[in-house]
Amino acid sequence: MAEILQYIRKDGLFHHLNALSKIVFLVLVVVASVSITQIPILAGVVVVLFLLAVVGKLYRELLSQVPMLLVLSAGLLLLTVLTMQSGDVIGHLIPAAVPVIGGAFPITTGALTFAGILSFRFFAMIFAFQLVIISTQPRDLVYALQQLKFPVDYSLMLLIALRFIPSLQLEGKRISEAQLARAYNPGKGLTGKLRSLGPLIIPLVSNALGKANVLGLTIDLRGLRTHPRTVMAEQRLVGLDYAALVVMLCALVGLLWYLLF
Amino acid sequence: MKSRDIAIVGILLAIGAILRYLSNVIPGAIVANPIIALYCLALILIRPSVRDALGIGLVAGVVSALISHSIFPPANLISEPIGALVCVAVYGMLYKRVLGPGIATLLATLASGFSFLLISLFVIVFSVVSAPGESFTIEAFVIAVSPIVVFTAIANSAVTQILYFPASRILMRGASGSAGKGKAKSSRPGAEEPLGRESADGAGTGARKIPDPSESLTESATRSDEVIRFDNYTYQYPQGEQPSLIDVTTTIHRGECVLVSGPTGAGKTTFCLAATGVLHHEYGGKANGSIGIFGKYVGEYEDLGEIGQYIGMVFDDADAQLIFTTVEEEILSGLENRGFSEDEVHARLEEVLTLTNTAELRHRPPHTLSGGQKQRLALAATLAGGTDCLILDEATAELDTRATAMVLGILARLKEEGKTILVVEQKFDELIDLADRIICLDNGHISGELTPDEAAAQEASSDFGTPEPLPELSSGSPEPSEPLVVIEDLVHSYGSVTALKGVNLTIGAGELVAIVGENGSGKTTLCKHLNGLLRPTSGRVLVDGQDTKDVSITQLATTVGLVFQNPDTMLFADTVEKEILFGLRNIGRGEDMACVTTVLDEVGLAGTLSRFPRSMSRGERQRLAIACVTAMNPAIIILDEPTTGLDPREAERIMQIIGQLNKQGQTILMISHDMGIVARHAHRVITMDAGRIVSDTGGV
Repeated sequence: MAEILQYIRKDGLFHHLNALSKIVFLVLVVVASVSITQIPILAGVVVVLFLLAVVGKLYRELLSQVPMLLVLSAGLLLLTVLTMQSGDVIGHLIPAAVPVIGGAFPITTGALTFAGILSFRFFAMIFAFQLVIISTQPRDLVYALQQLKFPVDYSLMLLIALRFIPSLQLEGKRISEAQLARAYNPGKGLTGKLRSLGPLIIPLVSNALGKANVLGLTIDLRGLRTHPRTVMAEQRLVGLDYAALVVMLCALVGLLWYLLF
Repeated sequence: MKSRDIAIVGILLAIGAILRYLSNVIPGAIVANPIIALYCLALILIRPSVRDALGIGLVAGVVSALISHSIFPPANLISEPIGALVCVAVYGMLYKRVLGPGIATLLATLASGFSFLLISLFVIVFSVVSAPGESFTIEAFVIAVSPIVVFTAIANSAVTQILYFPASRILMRGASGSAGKGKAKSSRPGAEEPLGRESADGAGTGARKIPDPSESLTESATRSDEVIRFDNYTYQYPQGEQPSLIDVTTTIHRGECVLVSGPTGAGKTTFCLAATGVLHHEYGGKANGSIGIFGKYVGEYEDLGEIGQYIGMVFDDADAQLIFTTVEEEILSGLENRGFSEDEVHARLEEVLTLTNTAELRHRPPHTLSGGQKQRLALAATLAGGTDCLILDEATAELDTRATAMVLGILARLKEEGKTILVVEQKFDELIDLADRIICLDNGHISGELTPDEAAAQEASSDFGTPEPLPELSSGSPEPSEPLVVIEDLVHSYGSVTALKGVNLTIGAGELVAIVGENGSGKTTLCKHLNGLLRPTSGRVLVDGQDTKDVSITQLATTVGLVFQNPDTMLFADTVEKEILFGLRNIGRGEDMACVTTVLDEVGLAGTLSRFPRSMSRGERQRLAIACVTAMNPAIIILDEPTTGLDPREAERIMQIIGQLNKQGQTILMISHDMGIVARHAHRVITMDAGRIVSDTGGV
């Protein structure tokens, strides 16, 4: 299984940006994605994001997301075609030649345009989230959230969640092997997933909760909730951040111009 | 909120994120979100305030948004706090009802799911209102995705309901137990009650204060020669039926290295937790007598954070002490909150990295480290705090010889620097040269305080490692006969790393073989080929005449049983009986109760059918894991580090069981780092190094 939400160590543009700048970038992309309703401009946003990924040496990671995004976009297209009847009819989901039900579910230009808008928004937001996640150390993300007045208790929760995801993935694999070695065969598909709930998830949750006590004591003994922290250089905004913020400000002005005029 | 609660929420959200990732199979505007089930479980287990529930919901929203493949990820930032609020409100009304967790989660998921849907639709409709969406039918869209929300709600409800009971028993809280911060008055009426006339914080009648209470904290902490002082201290856990420490009186002085010794259940960990102030500030319970830390009563410290400036503690579970996502961050976490300048932080970081041999690991995330590396990192992060006193509770219990030697080398250097060290350890022989004094604990009492020479003499003459005899088995010891396992030119690669490099091996029926070697030498990879968990990259493995590549894991499990190093990897049922029947059912012998009682008798667990496996001691759980495998009567049993983490008596008991199984006719393969046990029990020793067999003392 691929590692979830994990930082990838590289020496690229995004890696040199402060986490706070990346949060601003994320907000800008989300606002732009939900504000823009023209497919060519949305496609342009996606292309710009991809080019930024190339500059940031992270394009392979974005490309690996594309097959899954295409599948999800296809689902979105189906859902939109089924629920939207506007514009010209350009065909039918069930061809007219099929007896009895032929001609059902017309495919309209409005539905296709709408699905296109949703899909590009989808691409833009997922690309932006991916770029931020894989280029940001969780600790920097948490520190940036604290600068935004996110309470320390909640940022610690987030940090612990991000830290333990890969460890628990490995633990889950070990548990799965242990039950397989006991001739356990839950089967595949949804039924298999439901059957595996007891033998796989119960030990996973139990073992994980067994760590909570030591983890809590470690937090207390290290004074992570109570003591003031030394601000390190890498946690401050640098020239690149200010340059990025200026570019993002320009992009925001452009977006406002687009929305208003 | 307690730190433990923060840890519980974080850990459960991590599991939720994994499940969410695995469930990203439903394409479209909304996907099933098991994170809701897990944060609801957390809310039900810790029962936070409304404000904290909203905060937990917000964190869950951030995790959901980061991992989301839904149409509008930021909607999670609103929908999850709504879900959390509903969960807390509903569970508040259904507290202690059997189906409370399931119902609360059901309604929370519906609330979260539909609010997510409404927010997403609002954004979509609002943004395209003048574009091609005029005819977009919201009703149709809602009808199309509603079944997904309802299905997710039902699934989440089942997940939380199923997980609630084992989780609450593990935590001993919620409806089935109680716990809470020692100073909290609400949840535990018995908290902080004195057992007798004196209280744990020294405030009770007759409690004797230690040096000069008028001194400021810093002065007293740095000038006192007494680092930790117990005065007639007795302690009973909130859920305990009898005291775990009884009338303990001892003083640990500055610069001393003290080894705390004793069998499992003697009170060693409780002794450490008392010395760190954890019992007073976190656990509550009942106590008599007093504890002083650097000249002040434990109750005079504001919290554990304040005590943590003077005492650092390293626990046996290294992984649970690592909070950050790289080695460097972990160590920095101990440095950044000590008021140092940035330059000082960097200088001390380098010092600690060098001292603990972790410099080359500085950018590695914790999950990629070996057990020994993790423990060195936990030690490094604790040392970064710069405390004068260090307490290690079985910190090397799960480490191999080499990793243990590295940790002990660090302790030796710290002792030279004048640090005070308190070590709980089963590896008596390896620590005896380091210790100035040995405190022997037995059943909560200090049974003696010895010099290293006295302790060594006592150890040599004791029968400490001899366990109670087990029932004899009827079968005689077979001579090794026909080859049962034949491995030819076995190569196995994990991506670009070749873990096995052309292994040839034959094992006869009835052999008891030990496989030894350093971590990463290929021992476990080799053994996993015997039951099909791994398939050869090249070469072949024959088990009982069958090529493993032609047989499923399920089929091989009837011939080859595997007992993992950590028994908790496999135990999940709520009774011992169900745990053993699980394996028997998998091979079509689900009604064989006679077998269940027989195997339990064989491992010395007769009469434990209805016990909750997780409430048993580590040794008992290890024996139960062996029973689960032997019940399936495989011809070959593989045991991965069966004695790791056990005291000598329990380790010998396990080896006695293994010996009897071998006498009964079963072929045993045992991976071990304990060369003493290997020398005493194995008939044949195979040594592996860098993916190859480098020596073999015998064979068919």
